[in-house]
Amino acid sequence: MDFIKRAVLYLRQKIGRTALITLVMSAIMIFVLAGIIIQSAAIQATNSAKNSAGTTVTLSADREKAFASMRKSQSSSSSTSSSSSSNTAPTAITMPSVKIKTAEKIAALNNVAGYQYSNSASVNASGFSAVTTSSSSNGGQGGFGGSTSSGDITVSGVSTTAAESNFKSKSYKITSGRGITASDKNTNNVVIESELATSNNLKVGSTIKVKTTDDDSKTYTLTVVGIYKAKTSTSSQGGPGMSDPSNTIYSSYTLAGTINGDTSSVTSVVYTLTDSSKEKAFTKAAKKLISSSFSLTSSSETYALLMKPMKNVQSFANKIVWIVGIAGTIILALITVLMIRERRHEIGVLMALGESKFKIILQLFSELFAVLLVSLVIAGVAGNFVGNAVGKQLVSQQTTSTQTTSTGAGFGGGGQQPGGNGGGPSSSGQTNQTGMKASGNQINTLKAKISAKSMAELGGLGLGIIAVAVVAGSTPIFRLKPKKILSNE
Amino acid sequence: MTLAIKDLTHQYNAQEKPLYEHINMSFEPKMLYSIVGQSGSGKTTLLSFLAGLDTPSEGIITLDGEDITKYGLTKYRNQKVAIIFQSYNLLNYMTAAQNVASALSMTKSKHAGDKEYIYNTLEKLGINHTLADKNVQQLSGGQQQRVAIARALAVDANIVIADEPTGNLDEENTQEVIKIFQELAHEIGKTVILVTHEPNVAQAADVQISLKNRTFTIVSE
Repeated sequence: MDFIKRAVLYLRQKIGRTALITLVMSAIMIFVLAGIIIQSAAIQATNSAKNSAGTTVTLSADREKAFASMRKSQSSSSSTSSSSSSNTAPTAITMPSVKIKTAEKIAALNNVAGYQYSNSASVNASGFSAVTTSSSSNGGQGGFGGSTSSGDITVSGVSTTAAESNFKSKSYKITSGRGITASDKNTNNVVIESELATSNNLKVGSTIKVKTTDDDSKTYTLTVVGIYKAKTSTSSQGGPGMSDPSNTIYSSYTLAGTINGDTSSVTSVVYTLTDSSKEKAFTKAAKKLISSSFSLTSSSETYALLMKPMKNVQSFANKIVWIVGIAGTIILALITVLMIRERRHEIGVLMALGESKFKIILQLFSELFAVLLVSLVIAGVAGNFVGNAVGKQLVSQQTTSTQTTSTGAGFGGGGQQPGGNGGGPSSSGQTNQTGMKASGNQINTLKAKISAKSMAELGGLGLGIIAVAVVAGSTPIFRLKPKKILSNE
Repeated sequence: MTLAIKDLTHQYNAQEKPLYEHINMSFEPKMLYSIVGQSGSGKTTLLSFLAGLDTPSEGIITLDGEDITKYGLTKYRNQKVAIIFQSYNLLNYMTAAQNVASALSMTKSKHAGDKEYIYNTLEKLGINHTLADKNVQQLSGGQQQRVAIARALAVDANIVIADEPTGNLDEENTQEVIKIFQELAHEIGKTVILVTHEPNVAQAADVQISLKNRTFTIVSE
């Protein structure tokens, strides 16, 4: 191990040169490490966001088919009655409901971690006032034409509020009492929004009355079991004519079904899968159990939008690693080659004394390896700061650009939501809120953190660089005979 | 161990006259040889062949009858010969003691790691403990020359080859070094070959060889 002793002596004696190469190597390592950790943080953020949200598949009426069928019947009726009237009322769209029995069959398929029924009904407040805003005061609910009657209160029926997307994403938070649970099935228990509660002086335990919107209106007495606070409650989210979100009360899906007069169906079912990779298999199996009037929509499209900035950062970080890696290798290799060439006399002396070329290479390699270790420590300390600073900047740029390009798509999505269903629910407001939330919830922070894996990757790259540099620098010298090397000095 | 030159001819390029032509010579153990000759006569080049630092155009160098190139020049330099260079060729990032210690480790000498042996060897050549622990760049030319000699003497090689070993030494130190070379040859049994310009050093050798007109002449034996 004499070569190691010589390497140590060299590094100690030539401290200035050692410091200089440590500085250069550290600078290169810091940037490579920053790239590696940004890349891995972006991958991790993408995966953890996907895992935390879980992959969901929504079973609901195929709206495109429903619209196509509506247009078809409209055109046929207009052709037969064109001469009689030019003011034909738009045809009401009949959206098929999902039968609970079918939904349960699908829920029994493999890889289903859980499922959430959604049902909604439109009612009018009775003995209390709905929250009104300038944009929602007309009471319209985005239905298609005047044939659909809708009330000022939306009863949003769910299996549990805990599994509801707004509560899951913490956009809505229970501030008093409790949320809707499975035990509320077949009860009239509801959770109301805090604005609605405050304006009507309602508390947990209070009862409210609502009336159905059809001709022979029925009255239901509901018990407030919880009050929730919506983080954002701008009615404009739902577009013009939308009811204020504070007028949405949550109940068990059975209550919404009872109000609609159909307790065997729900509007939609959201299935949460155990594993995102099983999504295709699940969709394939589920399609066999439903008719063509229904569609299965995966959450992956939404996630693709959320993940876009991360994917961009990942791709950029990948480029950083390659560019800095290649440039660093070249710079470091050239410096090392020059330094080794400066040491040709020493190499000549060692060869003259009978030292093997392999051990001389090992000495040069050991010296650079020691420098690499110090550089790795420096890079490990500084890389975290650089990685976080660069990552923050990258994500903020990417998020801004993605939000700018996706704003139109977010609002456009609302147009696909159902209008009234013969006086039934209108969920366009809710879905639009989800779209905005998706845009608003785009991953905009990146926690770049050094891991053992990233340090190992960096170390591997560093070893590669010094191996190339040592071989490239010393090979031309080794091709000469010792006398030639020494006599050229 | 007998070192021999067999039918050696050397020329730097085909157009020039050969430096030597068909030289034959053998160097026996327990003998001190001195090679003299004018500048440019090829003394140092001959030493580089004997030391395995270079190979001649024609002919071979043998050790106990075996071609040293077959033995392996690196191995030959490591195990069989100790070289003292005119320009010292010390490792400049080491102290005098470390230079000697490094040579002992490199050649896997039985004295490797023996500090007392290292300091005693240096002491023999007038490098005291204080000087031995100094970086060689801080030593004078004469002191560096003595460290280079100490490095060659310390190792276990049976052949010592020296190029102008006393060129930077004063009279007193020159005499001391000559005495050491004589001891190495006569008492320890090594083959010592040195190139010199100094008549008194040449005359101290057992065999004086003159290199003239592309051939060797034994001046005195």
